[in-house]
Amino acid sequence: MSLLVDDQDKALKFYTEILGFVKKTEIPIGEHKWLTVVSKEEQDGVELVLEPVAFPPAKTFQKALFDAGIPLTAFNVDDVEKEYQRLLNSDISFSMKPTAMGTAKIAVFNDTCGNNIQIFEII
Amino acid sequence: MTYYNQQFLKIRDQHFPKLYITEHLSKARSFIDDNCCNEIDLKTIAEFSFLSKYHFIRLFKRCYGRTPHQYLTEKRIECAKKLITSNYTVVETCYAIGFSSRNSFSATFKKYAGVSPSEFRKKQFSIRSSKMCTPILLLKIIKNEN
Repeated sequence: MSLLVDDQDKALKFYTEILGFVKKTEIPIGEHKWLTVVSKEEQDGVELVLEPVAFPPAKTFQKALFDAGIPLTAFNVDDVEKEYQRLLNSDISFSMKPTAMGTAKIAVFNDTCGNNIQIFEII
Repeated sequence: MTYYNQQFLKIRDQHFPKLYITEHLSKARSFIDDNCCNEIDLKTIAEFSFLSKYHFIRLFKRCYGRTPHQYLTEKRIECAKKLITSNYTVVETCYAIGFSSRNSFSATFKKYAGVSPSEFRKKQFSIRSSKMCTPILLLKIIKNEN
């Protein structure tokens, strides 16, 4: 799964140190690199490609989503409220605080790399 | 408020039941999770939500995307996968998760897991044995053969 990021090194730091992913692949390819992270719990599972947003139309797309508050992707967590508190303590800003919709609870934060990211839990 | 937040709240208010009802639905779902291998019927599950059977089915499907019966079957198949992986035979698994007929269990398992229980079991064992055969182990086997 691909995630557009404005700076790969900054993104790697954020996704591993703040969100708790684990780096899986880092292969230099010219100016950029093939960089992937995986969930700590499922290291043979889905890989998240931290892809540089070098293509101008991609930048436009990313900015339009960000400005509208639309998440680029969503991650399932065990406890949205707990993650919200943990990320707030790391100075991460939220455009949506934990909010229930039916039997789902969601929150949306800024990943500091140009994206809104949604976390959700099914209650 | 962002565009996304506005849309989110609009959809929530138009399409989802009130919070107190979703809390009851959530309790009913937990009841299914805890008792998925026991004999439970719809009436017992619906009682947890203080709703009539038919209203309960409708709201459950709206919130979880499947009927309570489909959800219960999914849970049973998840449970079956764990049992098969932990060395249960297909017949033992079938009865342990509350099915009374092997044919019905095999058909349901295939529908939800994509493969029959015996194919799933075979696959699990081949994965396990390939993991056990590490390069060091292979080296030892080769040395012993020589």
